Amino acid sequence: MSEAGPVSTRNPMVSGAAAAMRDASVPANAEGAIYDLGYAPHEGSRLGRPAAIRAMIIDGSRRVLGLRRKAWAKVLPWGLIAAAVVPAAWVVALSFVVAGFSLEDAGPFADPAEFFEMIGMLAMLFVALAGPTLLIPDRQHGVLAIYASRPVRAGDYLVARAITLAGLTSLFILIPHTIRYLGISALYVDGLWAGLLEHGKDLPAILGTTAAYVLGYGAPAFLVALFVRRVPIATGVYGLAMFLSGALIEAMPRATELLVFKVMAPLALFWNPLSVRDWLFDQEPEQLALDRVGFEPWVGAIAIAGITLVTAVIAHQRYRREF
Amino acid sequence: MTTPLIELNGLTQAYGSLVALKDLTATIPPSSIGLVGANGAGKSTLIKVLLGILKPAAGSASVLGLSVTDATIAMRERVGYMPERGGLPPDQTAADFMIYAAELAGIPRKAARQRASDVLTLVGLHEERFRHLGDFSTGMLQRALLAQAIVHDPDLVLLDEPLAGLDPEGRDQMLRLIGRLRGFGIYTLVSSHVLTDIESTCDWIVMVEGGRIIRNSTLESLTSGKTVDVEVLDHTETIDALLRERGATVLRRGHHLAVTTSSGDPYDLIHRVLAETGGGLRLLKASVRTLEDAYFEEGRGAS
Repeated sequence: MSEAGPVSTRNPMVSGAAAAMRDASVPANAEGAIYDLGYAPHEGSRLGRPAAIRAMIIDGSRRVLGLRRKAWAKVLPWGLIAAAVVPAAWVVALSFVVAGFSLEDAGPFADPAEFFEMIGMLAMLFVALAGPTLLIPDRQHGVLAIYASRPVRAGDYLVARAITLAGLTSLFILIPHTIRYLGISALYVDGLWAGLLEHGKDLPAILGTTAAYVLGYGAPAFLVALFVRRVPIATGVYGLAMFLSGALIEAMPRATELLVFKVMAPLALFWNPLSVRDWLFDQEPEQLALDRVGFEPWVGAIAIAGITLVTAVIAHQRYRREF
Repeated sequence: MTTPLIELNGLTQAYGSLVALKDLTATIPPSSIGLVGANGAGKSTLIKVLLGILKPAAGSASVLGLSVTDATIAMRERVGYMPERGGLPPDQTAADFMIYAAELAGIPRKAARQRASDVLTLVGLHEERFRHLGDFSTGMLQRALLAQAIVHDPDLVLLDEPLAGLDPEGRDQMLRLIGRLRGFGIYTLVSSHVLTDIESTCDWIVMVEGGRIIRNSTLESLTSGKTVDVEVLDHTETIDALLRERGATVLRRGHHLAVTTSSGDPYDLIHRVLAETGGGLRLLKASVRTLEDAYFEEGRGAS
């Protein structure tokens, strides 16, 4: 700073009113005057890239949730959040107040693995909205030029966006699970603590499956958002890709035993997280795409990791040019 | 010795086979810089290289003494940028985006809020700070873009066509704002093809033509000349001949003479010749050379 010498030329902000108050030469009965507040240079610290990444995570979260935006921006995300949270809270509440009604009898709420089927579908819709919303508007409105003029790298931007998507999607899945877990523990015959311990055995599998959903659904959403220029179109393309890949690849082994379809089974994007769920909860495979061609359920985890890695590489290549 | 604001050493930039900047070498001292050139001359490319967005194919560039390739992050902490188009998210309020833009440059949250408020006041958008940027007019958007470029208190702002799309009143307001930045210790580099705008805000001119720098000097040296306009009443031919005889270059149209001397004071020479010939004088004034005149003359020289 001192080499270029600009700071020394700076005019500190002159707070006219304050200066006048300090200046004894200003008579007490002086007439009022309008002072130009001027410009105040920033004398404090600069927090660097970590602070910028934190700011991008907060900004991304607000954007996805429509916070500090117009009302219509809140409708879809909060509608989906309500669809995920309200039924869980409702069923738990019912199990408290209705005699003879227990969570174990409440369909998908009966056990955490089954609950993933319901919450996973909603999570996919949430990701379909959040993934494109995090990446596309910055390109669409030329805001990347502003990021590129700040002390951040392409990797910082992408990491911040990925953390935002992963964090919000994890919360989307885990909050209903937590409601269910607390509810079922509170109703445990031996009391809350015993219930927490008993049902807490499922927590590693719940967290692992959540990670599989977050990556398995999030990475394809980012991949689509890298190439599509409008959020609604990207959301549609992503939804179609998820459902069609699941439906078509699942149908193929029924029709033929050609090796190529076996190789393609891990591309059944919609089903991979469910395969991981079966693996982590040690369940009988549900004859999903991977099972049909003879793969073990953990292959779903490998497929998710591979797709995530490919997405990360493509995203970095694409954004490196912008920064 | 003061560190140059911008230094270019054999800088070359190409998009595939298309060479956008060719072997640029220049040293620009701390000043308000006008980057002038026709559309496609390479102005925006040069700005992107200075921001470290485009990597030079050859040569080097430094801004504020920091290499744009090796110290990109450190350099960007001290530089602001106002893009030619876009740059503002329509779904955010002006205040929110300014705070965010400051935080992106590492300014702590509390200071960012204060600076956002200050710069929005400075650009005349304080009353509009809680409106969404998507509801702003073109003039307001340009002012908001300028605000985000200075919200993190840079030492230099790069303004890419800051007056594009503005009506005359908007241009005037923007020019006054840009002119004020120097007083705050913020140097400016204004890219424009509207030379009158550059003339009113800059004191150093970099002319770019076909990816080359054809002039890099003070505005004064470009526009000041030793040409004097003279209109005489009589003896025109004799006066013309005497002036030429004494080393002046004369362009004659009727009784009007444009007299240029390579050395010495042209007024002295004209005074002596008129006294010798007894010619009557109707008009005597310094010839005004605008940046536009200089640009076309330099441009012709380059091509």
